[in-house]
Amino acid sequence: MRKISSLQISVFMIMYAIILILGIGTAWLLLGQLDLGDFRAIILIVASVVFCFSFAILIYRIFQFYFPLQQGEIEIDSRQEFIYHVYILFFVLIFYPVMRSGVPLFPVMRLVYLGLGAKLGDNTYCGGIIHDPLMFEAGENCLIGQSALIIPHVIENGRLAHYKIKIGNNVTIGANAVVMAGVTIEDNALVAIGAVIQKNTHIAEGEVWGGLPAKCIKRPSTDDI
Amino acid sequence: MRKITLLQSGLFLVLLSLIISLGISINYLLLGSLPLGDFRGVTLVITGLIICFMVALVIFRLFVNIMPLDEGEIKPQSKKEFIYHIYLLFYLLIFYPIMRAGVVPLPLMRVVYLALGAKLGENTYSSGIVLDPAFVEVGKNTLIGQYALIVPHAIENEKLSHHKVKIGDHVTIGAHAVVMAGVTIGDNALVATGAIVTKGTVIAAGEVWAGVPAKCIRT
Repeated sequence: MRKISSLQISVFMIMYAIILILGIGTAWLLLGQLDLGDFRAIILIVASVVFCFSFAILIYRIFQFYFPLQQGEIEIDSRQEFIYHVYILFFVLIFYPVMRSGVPLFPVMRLVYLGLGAKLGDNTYCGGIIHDPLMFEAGENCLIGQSALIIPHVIENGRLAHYKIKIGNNVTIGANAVVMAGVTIEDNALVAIGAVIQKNTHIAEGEVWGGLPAKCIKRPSTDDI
Repeated sequence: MRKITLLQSGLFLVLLSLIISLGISINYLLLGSLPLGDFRGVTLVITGLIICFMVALVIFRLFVNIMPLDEGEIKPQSKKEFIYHIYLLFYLLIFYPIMRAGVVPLPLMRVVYLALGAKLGENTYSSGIVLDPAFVEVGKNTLIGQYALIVPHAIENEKLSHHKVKIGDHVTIGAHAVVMAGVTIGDNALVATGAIVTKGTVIAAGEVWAGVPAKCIRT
């Protein structure tokens, strides 16, 4: 875990203040004058939270547009590290609490992940956590199981890097499984419950991988293809 | 899982009512007379919950100060078991819901763990769960990954014991990993994703451990 500098924290805090002003201001302008009776306070607070979260996604995307976090290793004290630390503060303080809580409904979570930059095909849902949505692409009809983790980052003591994870169509990632950085999974493959797919593994079409570390335990027979 | 007796539950409920009455009173004294308008109800409820949680931390610390839970085995019907059951009720009913929720941002969770008695060095954070914080010591710049568990207790059918877990500086504990009771991990070591480090294991500085049960795969 590298130390986040006070300059990095300040840059984030300025954006955080803008998010709060925009979010609360919007809620006030849209709903502040309505006659909501006893429910005024609770409605305004809930609306402010929803607007703040939406503006947080917007500001985060604008930040990413101008200062994109790229794939690859992040050297100490580099410009990429600066960007990463501001990026991680967005996640740690705003997005992770929502992603980790398990409270939002799957279709809502799908929208949040799309908002955060994940590429998800039609009818693909996640019951686990996609840690760096920008670095994740999944095809159609995929399901990521309960408490499964998609981890496109590599944090190994001093080392820090990001590598994209790409998943095809009709893939199932079992509950509690972990898919690590740089993994590609082709169509119709299955990652068994609890499997840990190590960095840069390539899973071919229709294969079933299980275990820790995960190995291919079943290949599609010729009739299946 | 041993049975918690009525007397133990009763004593805990007395402490809980003390926490709630103290928390709500402090809340009223501090904020009750502020002109909050329409927002009075919702503000007082939210601050009331936060203050009750803080009072619970104080009462819990007072309780473990007067009746400390030591390392080692806990025999059935012993005085230590009595203390443990009260301790456990604090966790089950007040602290675990927060620790397990995942809603609380990491820097705030760090403060909660420190308040519960964990020793955490500077810039050390946990995205997993530290189950018995008072039995955990971690150095600086260490990261505990998503859904990882630090489990300083051993609950094996009727057997029940606690052993400290000590983790050094610059350590990474991967996501979904489990570190069990009595484990010591040296500086710069790495516990891989999904690894289960069994009881009493000593991981030397700089080693990488992986698998179930975890083995040293690199020194």
